[in-house]
Amino acid sequence: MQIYIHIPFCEKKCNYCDFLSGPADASVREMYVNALIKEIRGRAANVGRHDRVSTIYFGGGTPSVLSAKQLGDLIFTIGQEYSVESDAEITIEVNPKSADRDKLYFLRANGFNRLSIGMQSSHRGELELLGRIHTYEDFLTCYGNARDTGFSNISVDIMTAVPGQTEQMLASTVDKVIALDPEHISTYSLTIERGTPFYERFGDIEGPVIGEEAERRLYWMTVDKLKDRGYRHYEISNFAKPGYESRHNSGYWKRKDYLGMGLGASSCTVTPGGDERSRNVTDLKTYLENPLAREESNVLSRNDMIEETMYLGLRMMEGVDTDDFEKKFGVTVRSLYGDVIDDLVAQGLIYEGSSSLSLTDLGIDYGNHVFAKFLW
Amino acid sequence: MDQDHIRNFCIIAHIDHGKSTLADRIIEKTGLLTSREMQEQVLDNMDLERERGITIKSQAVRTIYKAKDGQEYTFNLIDTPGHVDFNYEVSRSLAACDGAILVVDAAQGIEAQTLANVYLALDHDLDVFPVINKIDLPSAQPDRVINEIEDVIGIEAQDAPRISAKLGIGIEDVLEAVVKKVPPPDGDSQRPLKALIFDSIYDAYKGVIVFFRMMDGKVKRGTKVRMMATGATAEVVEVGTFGAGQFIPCDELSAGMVGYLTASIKNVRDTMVGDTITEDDRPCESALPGYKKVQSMVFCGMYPADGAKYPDLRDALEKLQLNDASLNYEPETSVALGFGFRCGFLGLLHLEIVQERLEREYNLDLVTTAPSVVYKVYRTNGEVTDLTNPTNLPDPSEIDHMEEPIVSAEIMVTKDFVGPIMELCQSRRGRYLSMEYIEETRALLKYELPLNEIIYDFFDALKSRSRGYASFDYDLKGYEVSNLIKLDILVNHEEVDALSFIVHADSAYERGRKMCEKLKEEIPRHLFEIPIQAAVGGRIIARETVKAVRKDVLAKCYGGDITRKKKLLEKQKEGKKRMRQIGSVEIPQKAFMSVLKLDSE
Repeated sequence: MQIYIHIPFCEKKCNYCDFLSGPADASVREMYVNALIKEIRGRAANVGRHDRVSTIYFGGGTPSVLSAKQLGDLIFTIGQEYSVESDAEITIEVNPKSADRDKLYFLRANGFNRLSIGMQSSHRGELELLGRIHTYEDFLTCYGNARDTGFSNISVDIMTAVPGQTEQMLASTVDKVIALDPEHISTYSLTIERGTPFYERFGDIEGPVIGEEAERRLYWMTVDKLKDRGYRHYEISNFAKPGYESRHNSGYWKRKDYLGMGLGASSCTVTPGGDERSRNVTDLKTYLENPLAREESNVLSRNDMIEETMYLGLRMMEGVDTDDFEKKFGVTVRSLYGDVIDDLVAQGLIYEGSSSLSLTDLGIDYGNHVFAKFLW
Repeated sequence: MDQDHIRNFCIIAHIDHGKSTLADRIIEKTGLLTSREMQEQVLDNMDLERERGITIKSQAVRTIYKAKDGQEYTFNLIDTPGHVDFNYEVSRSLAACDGAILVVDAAQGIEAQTLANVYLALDHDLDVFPVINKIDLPSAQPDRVINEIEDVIGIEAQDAPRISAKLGIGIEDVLEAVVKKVPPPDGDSQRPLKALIFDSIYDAYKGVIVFFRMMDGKVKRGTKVRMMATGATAEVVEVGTFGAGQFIPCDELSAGMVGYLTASIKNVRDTMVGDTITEDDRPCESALPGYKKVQSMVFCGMYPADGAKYPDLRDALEKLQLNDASLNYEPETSVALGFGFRCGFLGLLHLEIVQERLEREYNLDLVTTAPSVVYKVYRTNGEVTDLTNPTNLPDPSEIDHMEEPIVSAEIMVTKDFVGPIMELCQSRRGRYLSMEYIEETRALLKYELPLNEIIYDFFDALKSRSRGYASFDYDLKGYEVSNLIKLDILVNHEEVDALSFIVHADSAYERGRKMCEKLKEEIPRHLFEIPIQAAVGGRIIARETVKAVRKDVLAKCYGGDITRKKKLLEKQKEGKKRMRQIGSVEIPQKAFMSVLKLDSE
């Protein structure tokens, strides 16, 4: 089992961000942490002692806006209530500005062994446009501190397809990150989401602001650079040195069960009738009153699970393991999707191996088109 | 059985006025079958018919009724098809009857088919008596409907039984009325054999089973019979009458009776509906009037979706034809679709039924091209040819002129919708003939319309413009000179022959534009852009573009995104359509019928 902890706070919302997060004062943060601890305890009752936790992920928002003590209390409670494996991957997302040396030291000492640092860009102009609160120099300091305090598994986020971004600009950001030699790099193409300042600014546009072709050029340039330097391109937006693929995130694509806790957090739990996807309440006041309340829950049909297996599995470059599929569902992928597969293979969008089905490079470009084909 | 105690009759009605239900009740009440044995609708014994609620093949049933006068009567209830496509079959079924029950819906009153059927029945000298059905409906107005029948049709209706076939109310009254109002058959058993074929079916064991009405003479096992129109002769193996859903063999059939015979006949084409059966050695003087050779009114191409299934399609058509003498087909080849058949039908409904049977009963996956009527092409060299496939239109330089089939149509509509219906007829190149108010609120419109304007979607357009209140009937009138041209469709710059159709020059532009729009909806996005063009004689008159699939991939999909993103992908997904590859473009199979739906908005 995997655990996800959602911290819906940040110092200032970024211009592109549509996550459930926002600034909040100290008293609200404190109430939230207390509620979250209640939830962590409350949900433990439903989890068998034998169900061991292999990964924990603190995401947000910006989890690092919480104090070292608050984060310590949370991870301590998890350790008390669940059987966490000794080699569990425990990640926390940090903003360069809110993770100082002391906090990082404390986190490392309390079991966090992986950092995901939101760098986004090395260019001041881009960082300002995105509404980030930190500079490239802040990031460098944070990265150095992380190394110094013993983090040997660090991921860096880069934003691509930012309005105004040229190939040279992105190339320089990527080169600078590569020079630091992090274990893991995520590169995300900017998408304009409803309800964000960017949506107000760029409007309701279909596709990337910089245009579909430019976005793809930047994407493939990034892929080429990272592959050249020994990073495995293991998922559409993720790269890692061998052995440093995010175990937690891979769990999502391989449909492992996970327990999400915190405001609006999603879970996927195994039930006798099929996997159940549920979501915690998204209203903060309601959550503080009853942190065990769920807003949505839906037991998946066999078809739902099959569809998910396909479109999530195809996100990984290794693709869907068709032997695994057959073991799980008792039928071959071909028997369900023979026509679709033939079609997509003929168009050069997917590759059919002896026991796998994966996107080709062209297939990555048309990813959503391919994914949609596997929906009933 | 003595001739005075036979009643040969049919039930005529507008669609949905309750014909089949009444037939069921009659069979039930006459005690031939117990209620338990009753199928929902005994007369409609094909699945397809049940689903569509339409009776396709004529059939008959014999029941025994013990009347209030204490005597037993033999009722032969002959069922008639309920669609204008099968008008000729209807007329032959009527000719086999001596009387008709006219069923009129107590809420809806007289409709176009009511009138058309009544006139047809009166033309055949049938004694028609009305029955007011559905009196259980809250909206029933039996008195109004009775007056309407008297005013419009001019038959006595005051003592019409008021019934609810659905609830079984008043059925006895109907049975008594049959005894009293339908005359017994005349005819003379001593005269030479003379019988009217009103249907025939093919049975794998017995060969063709011929359904007929005895006019004069007798027929039994061993009689050598001759079909007067086709000239086919055969020795009778078995004669009998119709139980409900079964054949009851008997020794002999004589004048006035309704029954069947088998004679090891191999092909239904030898026993055409309307033909006269006589004795080969002692023929009657003249055949019964009214025989017509069936003519296909509508043609379309039928192709197997999988080219390798061509022989299967051929076999299936062969088998269907055994039972359906009005189905015609011959092989043809399309550049786009490969090997297939050009098939001829009585009308669009007939086409759809055959198509469904091929797909359902023979498990074939078909691509059907847009239906076409038969045009007459007068060439400059004096030759005249029938054009059934638009692709075969000669070069314009070889054409002197063309003619198209015209029908006379009768449309009955409530006052409020006269305007919209007239507009519709006008837009379909209709020629207004007359309008009469048959009562204060309803009018009967008469138009002449080109057949190619009504075979497609006229019926649907009529219904939608009258909110279902208009009814419609038509008859082929003849051919008229018309300014017709061929509209070609190019998909990704390639002409797709199977999408070509003939259209009146005045509507070419509009039809071309709509066709492009329709195809744009139908053809899914590909990885490249696809132009769709309409052309007349090589000149492009309309164009649409199917945009290419967007390059687009979800950048993030983590725990909280999975459900949300799936909804997004679902918006993008195309229904799983069966496709046909034309060049580098996949066209959904049903797109070849797109021309049918051009005016649906």
